[in-house]
Amino acid sequence: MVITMFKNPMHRIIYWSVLTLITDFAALRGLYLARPDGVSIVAATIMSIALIYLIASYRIDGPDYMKRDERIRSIVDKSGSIGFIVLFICVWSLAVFIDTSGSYFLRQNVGAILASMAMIGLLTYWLAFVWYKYHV
Amino acid sequence: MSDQVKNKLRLLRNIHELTQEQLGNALGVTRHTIMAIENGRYEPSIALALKIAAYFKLPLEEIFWLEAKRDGDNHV
Repeated sequence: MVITMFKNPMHRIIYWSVLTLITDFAALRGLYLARPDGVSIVAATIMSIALIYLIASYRIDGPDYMKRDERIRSIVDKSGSIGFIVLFICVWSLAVFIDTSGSYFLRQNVGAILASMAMIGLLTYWLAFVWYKYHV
Repeated sequence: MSDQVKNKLRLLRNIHELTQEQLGNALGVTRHTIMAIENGRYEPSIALALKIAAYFKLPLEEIFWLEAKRDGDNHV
């Protein structure tokens, strides 16, 4: 039943909006109570960006905005390669920088820096996807 | 010099009085894919090219052909 509900493109956006609102509410509540939760803030940001993308795609492409035809599959492959290359270069650069500079700050915050790099990789993938889909 | 795949999909679509969306639905692809093929920004797979040829009941080489492209040519 859940799968059939998600087949309707508009329903998909509505359900995603509800989930985004709940996550945004959790993140804002944490901020309001001065107990900000890093995970919920990151999740709320990503989900809100995804929601804006879904609505924009629906407006531009119409109801078949998530249809995966052969061109979209090739775009997904290309964007994935670009995102992976950016992530690879970032992680290697970080490793080399830590080894050569011996920065205490980098060593202490390596988890957060790696998470940021993963976000950069994801955003690169996303931007490449949008670029290839609508511009090239 | 490199080769580029050219096509007359737009002409055929206009002759058959089809919209990009109608043709896309008939071929199982999106309107954007039809638009990208018509503008020469996307080269379809062999399977899709054969589907297009079958749809218009024409030989493949009447719809798609190779053309030499100068290295300086840019297609955005």
